[in-house]
Amino acid sequence: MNSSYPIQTKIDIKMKNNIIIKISVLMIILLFAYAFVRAQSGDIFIKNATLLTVTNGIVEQGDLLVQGGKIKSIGKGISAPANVKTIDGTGLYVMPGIIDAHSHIGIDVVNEASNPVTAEVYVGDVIDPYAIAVYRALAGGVTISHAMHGSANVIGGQCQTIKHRYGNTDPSSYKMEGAPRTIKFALGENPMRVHGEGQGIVPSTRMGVEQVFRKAFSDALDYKAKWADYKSGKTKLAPEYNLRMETLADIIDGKIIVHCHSYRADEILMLLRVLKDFGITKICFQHVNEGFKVAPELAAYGAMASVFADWWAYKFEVYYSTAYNAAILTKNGVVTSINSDDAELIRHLYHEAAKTKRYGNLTDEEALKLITINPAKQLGIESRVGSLETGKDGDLVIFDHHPLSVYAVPQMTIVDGIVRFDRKNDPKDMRLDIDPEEKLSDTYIMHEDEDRCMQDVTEWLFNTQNK
Amino acid sequence: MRICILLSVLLFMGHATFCQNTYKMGITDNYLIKNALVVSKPGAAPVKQDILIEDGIIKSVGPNQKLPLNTLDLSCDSMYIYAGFIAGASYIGIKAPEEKKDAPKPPSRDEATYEQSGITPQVSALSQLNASDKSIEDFRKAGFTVAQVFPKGGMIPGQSSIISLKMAKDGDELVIADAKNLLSTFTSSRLVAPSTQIGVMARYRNLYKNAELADKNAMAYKTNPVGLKAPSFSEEIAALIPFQKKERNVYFLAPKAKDIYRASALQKELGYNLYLVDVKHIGDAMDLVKSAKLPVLLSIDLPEKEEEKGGKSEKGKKPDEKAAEKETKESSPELDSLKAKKNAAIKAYEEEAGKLEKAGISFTFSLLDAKATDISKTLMRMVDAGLSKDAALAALTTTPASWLGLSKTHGTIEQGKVANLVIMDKPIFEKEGKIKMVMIEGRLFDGLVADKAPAEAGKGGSIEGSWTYVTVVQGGEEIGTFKFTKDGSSYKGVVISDRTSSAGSEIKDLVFKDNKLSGYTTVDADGTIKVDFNLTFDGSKFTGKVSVPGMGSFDISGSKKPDNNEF
Repeated sequence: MNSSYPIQTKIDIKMKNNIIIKISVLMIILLFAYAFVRAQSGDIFIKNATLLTVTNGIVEQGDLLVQGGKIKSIGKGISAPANVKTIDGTGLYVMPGIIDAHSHIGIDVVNEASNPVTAEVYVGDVIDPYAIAVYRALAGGVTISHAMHGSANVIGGQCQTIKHRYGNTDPSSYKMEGAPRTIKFALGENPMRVHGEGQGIVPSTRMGVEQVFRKAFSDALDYKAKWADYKSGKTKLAPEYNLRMETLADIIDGKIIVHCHSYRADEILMLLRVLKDFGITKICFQHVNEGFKVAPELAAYGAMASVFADWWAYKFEVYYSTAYNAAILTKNGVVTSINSDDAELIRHLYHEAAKTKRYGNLTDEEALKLITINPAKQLGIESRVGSLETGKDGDLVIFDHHPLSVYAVPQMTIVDGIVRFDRKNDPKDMRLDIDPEEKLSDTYIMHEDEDRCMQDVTEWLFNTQNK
Repeated sequence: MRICILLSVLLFMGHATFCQNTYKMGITDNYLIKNALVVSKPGAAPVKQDILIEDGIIKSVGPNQKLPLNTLDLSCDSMYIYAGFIAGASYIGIKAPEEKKDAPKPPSRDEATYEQSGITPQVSALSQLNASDKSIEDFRKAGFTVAQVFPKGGMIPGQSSIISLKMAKDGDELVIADAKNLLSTFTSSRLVAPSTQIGVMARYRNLYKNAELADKNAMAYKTNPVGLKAPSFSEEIAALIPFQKKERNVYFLAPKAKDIYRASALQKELGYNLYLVDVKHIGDAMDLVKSAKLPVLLSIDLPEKEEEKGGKSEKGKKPDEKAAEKETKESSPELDSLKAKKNAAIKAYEEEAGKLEKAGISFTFSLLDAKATDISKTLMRMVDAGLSKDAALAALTTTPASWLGLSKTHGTIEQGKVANLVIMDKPIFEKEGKIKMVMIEGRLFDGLVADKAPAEAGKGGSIEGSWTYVTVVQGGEEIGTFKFTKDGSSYKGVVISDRTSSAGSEIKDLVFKDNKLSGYTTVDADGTIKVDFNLTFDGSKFTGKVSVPGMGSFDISGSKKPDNNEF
C-alpha cells in the first residue's frame, strides 16, 4: 500500500493565478476521496525502530510487519514481502495506538437529558464520520476512543467504541467491530442539577441518585420476569416492549460494561454497594478524582478507573484531587487509564501519561499502559488492541522521540495498517463534508466545546417552567 | 333543493344538461386544443397534434380533429404541451396545526403524550388541508397538477393524501386518492422526550416493536380469547401496524448522507419499506442507496450560487449579505481554497439528480422545502449539471404517477387519461421557456405569467380589464371572468362563465366607489332571477359576496388577469 496522501499538498502562496489554485485544491480533494475509500485495512512494514510493545518490553532496532490490518510479526531482522510500504524507523519510536477511554468526539449528540434514566439511547446511532476532531485526535496518536453519552442522567445512554478511521464516510465503519457494549452512569452534581434543580424531580441529592439506580434495576427485574412468563407460555399476551428496561436487564445480565462518571469517594462506595446488590460486576469509574481514597476497595471489587492526569476544581465536588491519583490507583492494583474527555486534550494524552512519572514515579511501561492496554481492558478490547503483539490490530503511532518525552511529536498514526495521519502530509483543510451554505467567515471558526460532558443539556438547565 | 341546484347552474352557466338553452349558456369542460406540439410522455418527440378534452378527460389525441359541438376551440399553435406535473411529496395546501397554548404539561418530560412528543402516525394530511391555501395556486403556476401531501408535525407527522391542485371549497374535494404513506423524521421535541436524535432513534425501536406485538396480541386474542383480557393499545401504535408489516411505505426525511445512513440503519432493524424524502445531498451514501435500491425523492431546493446573491441592490441587502459579499471579494490563498471547496460543494448538490439518473436509481421530486417560484430555475440548474431532460420530465410525471398508483390515469398525454396539461411557449427546460397555461381535469388556468404588473385597482385605481373569479355554490365550484370597461366616469361590466362562449350577462346598476363594487345581473329560469354582486377590490385581488334572493349568499373571490393575455 502506498501512502494515503498520494500528492504533495503545499500550494505555492505566491501563485497568482487563482484558477490554478482552485484546480489544485479540487484535485487534492478528489485524490483524498479516492485514497480514503479504497481500503479498510492495509499492509505496512516499519524497519529498524524502537518498538515499545507495552506488554513485552522494548525491542531496540526492531522491525514490525502489519499485513491485512493485523500485526504479523515483531522482532529483529524481519524481511518484508515485496510491494509492502516500508517506513525507515531509524531513530523513531513505535507504540500501540493510543486509546482514550473517555471522549465525546465523532458523535452528533451527547446527552438525551429528558429523564434521569435513558438507558435506551445509544450514541452509536449518531456517529459523525465528518467530525474533524477525529482527525485531530489521530494527530495526537489516538487510534481508538470511547465516544460516550454525557453525564446529565443517572443512567445515561449507551456509548460506542470507535476506531479513528477518518476518511470513511459510512458511520458504521467507525464502530469497532466486536467491541463490547458500554453504558454511561453519572453520580453527583450533574444529574442532581439537571433533574433535581432543573426540573424538580428525583434526584435532588446524592441519596436520590442511589434511589434512581435501585428503582431502575428493580423495575428491570420485574420487566424481565414478565417477559419470562410470556416466553415460558405462562401468559398468553406479550407484555409491552420497553427498550430502556431491556437495556437495564442486559446490564444486570453482564452484557454491558458500566462506565460511571464520579468524583467523591462516598458516592463511589455507594455505587459499588448498589452494583453488588444487583450482581453487576463490570464497572469502570470515570474521572474518579477521589479514587485514591478508596483504591483498595476498588481493587477488591475488580472495578477499574479512568482519570485525568491533573484536572480538577471545575466544580465544587471536584476540589479534593491530586495528580498522584493515577499512580496511587495503579500501585493498589486498580486497572487505571488516563483519559481526555476533551477534543483538545485528546491530542496529547502521551504528555498526560508522562505526568505520572513526575507524580508517582511510575515506570515508562506503567505510564504507557495508562493510555494503551489499560483503557483497552476498560473497554473490553484488550485481546485486540493496546499492545504490540502478533495477531493484534495494526494500530500504531510513530514518534520522533520517546512518547513520554516532553519533545515527543507524533509523526504518523496508523489504524488497521492504514496511514490515517502523516505529519509530512498534513493539509490545512481536512474537512470531508462541506456545507455549501456556510459563510466562509464561519468556516474559519471551528466550534469545539471545551467539555462536552454536558452537551445538549443547556436548555434543560435554563428551563424553569416546571419549578 | 332542486331549485337551488337549478339556480346555481343557471347563475354560473353550469352543466349543459340542466340548461334548456345549452349552446348559448355553456359548453362544459370541453376543449379542442389545436395544432399544439404534444410531448405525450418523457422521451417522446413533440408531434403536432390536436387534443380533444371532454368532461375533464382526454378523449382523443391526433392530428386534424374536427371541432365537435359544445367544444371550445383553443388554438395552441407552436405551443408545447406536457402532462401535468405530479409532486412526489409536498406540503401543498397544508396548514400546520397551531400549538395549543393551554395544553396540560406532562408530569415529567419523559411522560409526555404521543402528541406532545410529535408522534402522530394516525394523523391524515386531509385534516390539515386547506383548499384556499395560496400554495395550491403557487405550485399550480409552476406546472403541478397533482401532489402527494403530508401533514406537518414532529417526529412522525402522519399519513399522506393525493390531491388535485384544482380550485375547491373544501380540502376533501381536492383528494383524489388516499396514499397513506407515512412521513417520518429525526425531529426531536426539544422540551419533552425524545429531545435529541438519539432519543428519537430509540423511540422508533420502541414504537415499531410495540406495533409488532400489538398485532401479534390481537391475533392471539382473535384465535382464542378464552381466559384473556382483551389486548389494548393506543391509536398511535395501531396506526403503525401497516407500516411495521410493510403493507405501506415510510417516507423518511433524509436530506443528507448521514440522515440516509441513519434511516437505512433503522430500516434494517425495523423492516419498513423505506423511501428517502427531501434528499438534498446523497454524497457519500450513493453506494448505499444504489445497493439497497432505495427510492429517492430529491428536493427541488439547491444551495444558492454566489453570483445570485450579488444580484440585489445595495439598499436591499441585509448586513450579513453585505459581509458575505465582502467576503467573496476578499482574496488570499487560504480563502481561495475555502471558496473553491464551497463552490465544489454547491456543484455537487446540483449534480445529484444527474448522478441518480446515471446510477439507475429511481427518483422523483420532493417539494417539502421548495419555493414554487424557484422551481423552474432549480430544475434548469440540475439539467445544466448533467440531468437529462427526459429523466427530469419523467421525475415530474411518469415516475411519481407510478409510485402513487396513478399510472392508469395520470402522467402522460393519452386517450382516456385525466386532462392535466402544462402548456408552454417553448420546449420544457429550455431557457426563457414559460408555462402559459395549466389545465387540471379539463379546467383551464391561463394568464399564469404576468407579462407586466397588473394595473392597480382598489382605492383610487382602475378596475378596467378582465378579472377571473371563483365561487362555490351548493358545493360546486364555478369559475369565470368579469370584464369591466370604462364608460366616462363610471364602469360597464359583464360576467362570463368559464363554461360558456357567450358574450356574458351585463351587470346592471354598476357602482364602483372607493374600492367597492355593487351591481346585479339577471338570469332567466322559470321567471327572472336577480343576482347581486358586492365586491371589494384590493390591488390585483378581490373578495366579496354573490347573493340571490331566497337562496342565500356565497363567497366569491378572484384576481386580475394580465392585460395583454394572449389567449
